[in-house]
Amino acid sequence: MKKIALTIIIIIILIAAVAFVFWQRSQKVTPPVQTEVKDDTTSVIDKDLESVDVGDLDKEFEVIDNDLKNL
Amino acid sequence: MKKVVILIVFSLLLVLPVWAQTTTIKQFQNKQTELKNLIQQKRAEFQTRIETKRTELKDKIQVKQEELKQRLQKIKDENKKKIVEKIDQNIDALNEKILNHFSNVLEHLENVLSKISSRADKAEANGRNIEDVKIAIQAAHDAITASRSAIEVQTKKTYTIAVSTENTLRLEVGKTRQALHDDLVKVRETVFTARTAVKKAAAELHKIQGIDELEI
Repeated sequence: MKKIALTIIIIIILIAAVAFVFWQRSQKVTPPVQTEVKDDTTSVIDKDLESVDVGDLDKEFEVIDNDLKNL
Repeated sequence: MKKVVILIVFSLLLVLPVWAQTTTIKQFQNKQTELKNLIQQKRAEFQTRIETKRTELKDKIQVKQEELKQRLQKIKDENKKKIVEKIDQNIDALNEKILNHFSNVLEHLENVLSKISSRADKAEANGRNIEDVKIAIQAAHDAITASRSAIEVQTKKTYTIAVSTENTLRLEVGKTRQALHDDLVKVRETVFTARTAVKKAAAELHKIQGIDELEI
């Protein structure tokens, strides 16, 4: 009788452990992290940094400067 | 009894790594969400402050334009009067346009910084030392904040054109134009500093070996 109880406990623990592992793995299939993963590589970061355009201040003043010439 | 203990230990060995990994992912996700929320909150607060300052400035500009009209009465050439008024309006418009552009650049830099943070967190979760990256990220955040403060200060400004005589008009308007230019150069310097700081953070990230292969 004791042996049967022990076997049942063993089986329950095993099933619970395996179920937990499978459940956790299934939770990880589509976490939001995965969607962000690809755009934080160093190549993407470098590309993003290269595309930073602070602008040409003097060019922005051209209209004012042209008007100034007419004074 | 021995069998049960062995089985519990075996089960724990099976479960613990999975549990630990899930916890790491959740911690990472929470951190990223927190950071995203903080950035959005900061941006919203900044935008509100800018809008308030612009509203306050509108009345000031209107008064200033009326005063300029008064001063221009001593100028006989109608064409020149119109040009001066146009330049006066363009000066304020250009200030707003350039500052908007700088604000957008800072948002762009902040987005890049978020990516650097994300990648650094992944490295940390994989047991890498990211202390230097963290320091560089903080310095970049500080530089962005300082640059936003400079933009705020500049947003409040308007420029008054002095009018003495027709002969000195060009020189006087030129001085006002130069004042705006000099101020915008100073603000631009803060944007450059922010960009350099973000580049430094990216450079620190590059130093971590195999950084792009580290995932959670």
